Amino acid sequence: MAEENKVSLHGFFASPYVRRVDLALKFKGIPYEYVEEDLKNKSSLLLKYNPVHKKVPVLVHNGKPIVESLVILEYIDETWKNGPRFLPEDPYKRAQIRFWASFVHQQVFENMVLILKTDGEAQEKTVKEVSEKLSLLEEGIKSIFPEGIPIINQENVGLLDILIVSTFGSYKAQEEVLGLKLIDPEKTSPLLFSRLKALLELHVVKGALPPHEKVVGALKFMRQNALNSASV
Amino acid sequence: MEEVQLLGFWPSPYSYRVIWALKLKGVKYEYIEEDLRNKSDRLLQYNPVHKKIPVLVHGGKPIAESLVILEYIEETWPQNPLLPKDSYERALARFWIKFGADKGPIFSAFFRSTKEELDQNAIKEIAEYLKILEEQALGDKKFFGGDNIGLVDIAYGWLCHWFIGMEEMGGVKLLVPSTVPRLHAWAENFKQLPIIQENLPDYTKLLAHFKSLREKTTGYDAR
Repeated sequence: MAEENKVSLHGFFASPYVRRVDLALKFKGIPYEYVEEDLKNKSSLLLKYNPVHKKVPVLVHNGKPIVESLVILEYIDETWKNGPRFLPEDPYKRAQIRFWASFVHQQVFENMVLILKTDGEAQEKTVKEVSEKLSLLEEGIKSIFPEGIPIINQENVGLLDILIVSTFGSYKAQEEVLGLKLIDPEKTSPLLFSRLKALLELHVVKGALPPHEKVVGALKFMRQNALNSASV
Repeated sequence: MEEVQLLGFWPSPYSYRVIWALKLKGVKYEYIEEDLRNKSDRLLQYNPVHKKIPVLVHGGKPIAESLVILEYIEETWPQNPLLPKDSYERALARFWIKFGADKGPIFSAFFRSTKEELDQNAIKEIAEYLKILEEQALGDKKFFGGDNIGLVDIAYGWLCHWFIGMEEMGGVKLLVPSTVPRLHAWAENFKQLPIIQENLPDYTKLLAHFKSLREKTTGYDAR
């Protein structure tokens, strides 16, 4: 008798970390229940499933919780072997992808969050840093695909693609709220930008990204909160 | 036989993670000491992004970032597995490895804390962190990996030697039986394993290195 494969995702609509998991489940075609959490009033389920960090995303598979977006992505890839494989078979290629995934996660994305939460000189400094990291990322993308990047479709999305969409997918909303461009499609990031545009055309991605105005609202809220508490 | 090289730096716990994994798997390798104050062309070529050690070079191809290297070693040399077979258990292991990786800042603060100027916040945070490790990650197991050590033990291995050195410098002991008896026992058991015991930097030299680092208020380039 087939075991029931019950999957639920606890998330917050504006969280890029949640977006990663949401995209992964959709790309694999895994049916799941989505539970929107109010982060100012966390559900007792969330606290039970993630007692250490009390954060989203939490993936619950047959009652067992998994946390940390990158850990969840690898878990999904290993557990559901249908659909696109997020990590390649070859251990060296896997290492390259994991290296760049960690780079986007820590070096790029976490600095982008800082840019949102700061202004003045501190912000300027971080904007420069992100620009340098994006240059490195562009070289990294070239090194992973020395023969050129294959055309993207829903069967061949990988871990890095999921990170690219979740990090940069709402770039227009980010630009509107910050009043500055983070990705430069001409000088710094032509490959990254063209990959992003191709990903944004995918049916799954179109269905997964929240509407522009909602993202702008959430980003503005986060920025206000951060700047207010910084000046206290 | 495939050629394996490890670019490392003798006081770095990140170097040792890779050494322990290679030794546990019985992989022969050539160790190359890098001078981080005078980085070699080789290091800059193999790790242009971060310019840091450790870097594992296998068949001429470099891999950087200790945790990425550990997963590579596990996948390339499957003997003596260091991660559970079950994907859920593996996800738990990876969670705990990540939990350790995120706590860099509080340990840096503790490193700079001195007897004259104790960083109470860092001390409090580390005490909480150790408690979480004991209660939620280790529990009643001998090792994080169960009866035998795995990647989680390797990731936290630095606590049993490098952190002890930091405690001695700061004059504050936190990894103690009165507050975290099981974790303290884990540290003792881990350190007594022959493969670990035979592969640790000299403690006295390490303390001297820590002292000189603190005077310069710069960290060393490793992750």
